[in-house]
Amino acid sequence: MASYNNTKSSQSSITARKWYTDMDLNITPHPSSGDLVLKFDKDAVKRSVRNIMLTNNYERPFKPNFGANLRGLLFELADDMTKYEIRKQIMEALEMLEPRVRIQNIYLSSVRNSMHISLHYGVVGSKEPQTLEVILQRVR
Amino acid sequence: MSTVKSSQVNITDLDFDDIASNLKEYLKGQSTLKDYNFEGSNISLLIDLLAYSSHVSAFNANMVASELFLDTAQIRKNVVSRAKEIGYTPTSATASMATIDLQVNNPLIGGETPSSLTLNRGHKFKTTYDGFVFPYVLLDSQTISPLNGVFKFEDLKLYQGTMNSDIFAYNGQIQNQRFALSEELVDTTSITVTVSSTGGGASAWSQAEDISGVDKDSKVWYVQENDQGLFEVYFGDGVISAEPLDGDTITISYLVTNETHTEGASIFTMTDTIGGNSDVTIVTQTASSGGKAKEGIESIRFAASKFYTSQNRLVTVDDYKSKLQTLYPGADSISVWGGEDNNPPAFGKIFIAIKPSQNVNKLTTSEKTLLRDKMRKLNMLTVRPEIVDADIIDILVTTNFKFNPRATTKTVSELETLVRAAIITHDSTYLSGFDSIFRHSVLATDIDNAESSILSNTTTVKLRKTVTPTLGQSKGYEVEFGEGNKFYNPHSGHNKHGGGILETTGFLVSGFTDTFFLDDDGEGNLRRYSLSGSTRVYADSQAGTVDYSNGKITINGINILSTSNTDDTIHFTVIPNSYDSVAFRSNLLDINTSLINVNGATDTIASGDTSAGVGYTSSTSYS
Repeated sequence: MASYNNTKSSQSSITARKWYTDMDLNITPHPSSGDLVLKFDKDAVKRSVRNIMLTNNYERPFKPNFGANLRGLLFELADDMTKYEIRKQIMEALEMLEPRVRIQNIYLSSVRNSMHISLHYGVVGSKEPQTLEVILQRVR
Repeated sequence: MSTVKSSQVNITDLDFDDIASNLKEYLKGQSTLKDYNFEGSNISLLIDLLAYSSHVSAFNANMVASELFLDTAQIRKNVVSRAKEIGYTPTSATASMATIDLQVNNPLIGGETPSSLTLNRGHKFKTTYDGFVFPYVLLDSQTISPLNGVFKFEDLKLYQGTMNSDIFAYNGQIQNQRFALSEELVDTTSITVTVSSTGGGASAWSQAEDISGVDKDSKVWYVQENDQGLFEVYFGDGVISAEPLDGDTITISYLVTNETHTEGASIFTMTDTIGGNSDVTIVTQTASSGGKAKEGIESIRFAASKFYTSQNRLVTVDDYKSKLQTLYPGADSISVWGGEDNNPPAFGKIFIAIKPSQNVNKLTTSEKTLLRDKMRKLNMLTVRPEIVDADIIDILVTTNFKFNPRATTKTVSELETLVRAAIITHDSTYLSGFDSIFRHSVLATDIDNAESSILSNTTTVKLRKTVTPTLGQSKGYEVEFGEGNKFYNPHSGHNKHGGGILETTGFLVSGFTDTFFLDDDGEGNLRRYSLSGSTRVYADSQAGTVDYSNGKITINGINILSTSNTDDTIHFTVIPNSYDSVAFRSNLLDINTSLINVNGATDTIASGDTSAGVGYTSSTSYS
């Protein structure tokens, strides 16, 4: 796994060297080179966080505990207890599955049968705050 | 991007975690995609999917490979198919069979006494078993004429189940045409096949048992189990046995038995009438027995390999054992030994003892003849198979147990009943077949475990054999318990004045009016005595010999006129040297349930009635 030096002098090189690289599941070719388009650093981490939040337990083969397991909570009452539960599950999942992320805050608001989640977090090795918006709603 | 060699991927692991780990190791060799170690990443998702796919493929490949071999196949149709490759056909369900005598009382047909009566194949009977009615049918037609005005069918064999028929048209245009029977619980030994030609003639075809005996004109059929678990009948191709003609009608009649085998059922009533006559008297000769489920895959695995080893020939003892399972599929236990191991040795013979079922110990004479005929087609020319009856060695059990009355709410008699039931269960569990061993400590443990309040038991054992003497003839007898069942004789002359270790029931001898018994003097002599009050009056101090170390009693020539036992038998009861007993050759060990002696007593120390062991009594451990 890649390592990094958390000093100001190397900060610029961190950005330039692309510490985290992941592939894009859209699997689209680069318009000029024709190579697979990749995701780097904060985008790669954001994609990972999104994957974790939108995955339910038992969805990943042989990894029954993977995911924040939020889908079942969609059918709970939209009260403070449910919000507490959503926060708790997101935090537990990310702490367990995504070591690159430090959660700063989770804002929840229920809007017409859906739950808007705004996750504020930082990426290890980067000072830039990150935000991820996820809307949980029934699809049919 | 650094170069990664695909040969560096370890592909020998089959588990999900190992495959995923190997893929990650592989990805370490490149720098384009770095997030493979973060579980939420897209590349991690793809690794998981690939590992899952590889795992499933590996599992499937492993399973397919397993199904290719008889030893490892798990799916029945594959086990059957592998067995078929080596010529073995699994046995079907076997119907339970009972033998009865049936007397028709004052039969009238058309208002007159008929000259003969016929019972046809499929004639229906029924019995009630565990509160449910089960059908029985006759498979072999029988016609009788009256004997002294009495219409009596003797030794009718009734088979559990109902008759069924399937009718097919033979189409010569279809290759390998097979006719699957519509029922699963078919007893294939009951199948009859009739081929009717378009011209109107019908003929019964027979089952091919051995391919060496058929030619292009042999009217035979074959049977096998198909991949749906149904039995199917098929015919030859005109080269190896005859082929039916295009358009012929095939009628297959067979018995469909039940899943529940009515073992032990002995009361039968007739459902059909005989030419309108229903007033019959049925006497059951042998209770229903021999019912068996379709052969399971573990049994097929075992029997098929043995069948292949024997190559359908009877040469070694194991050949006989495996083939007899096919020739007599319902057998509860089979024992085979060479004539050289017999006592006395009988060279050129092979001895076979079959216990037909849990409830029946002997084959009927007709069954023995049928089996012998079948074996003679397969055995060596100079070796004669001899089917002998099973000998029973009765184990007489006496048990004295101690129990803690504070640990149970049951009475002494209730505990005694429980102990008796435990002994009977032990008998049916461990002593049902040949080659069985009675292990005293196992029985003692079973008795201790019969109820939690039972603290200990002292169980003693005697062995008993029953001899049926030839009445009115001077003749010697041998009563053999086997080398494994030595008699108790700690020193020469043991218990000489108390009658040694042998006791018998009484019998009358020609020339004497007294009832005689036998005992031994502890020195190897058999003594014949009568009783004067309780005193033994010896008439012959050398009436035979007792071989303590070989477990054998030899009686010199004696003319026995009658016995005290009403069934013309004499019981020989001995004290064995060891409480563990073994069944040898044709012997079956059996705990005689009617002679189990059980006595329960309060353990006075456990109950607190006795302190410091004062007044505590214990039972003797010597028979």
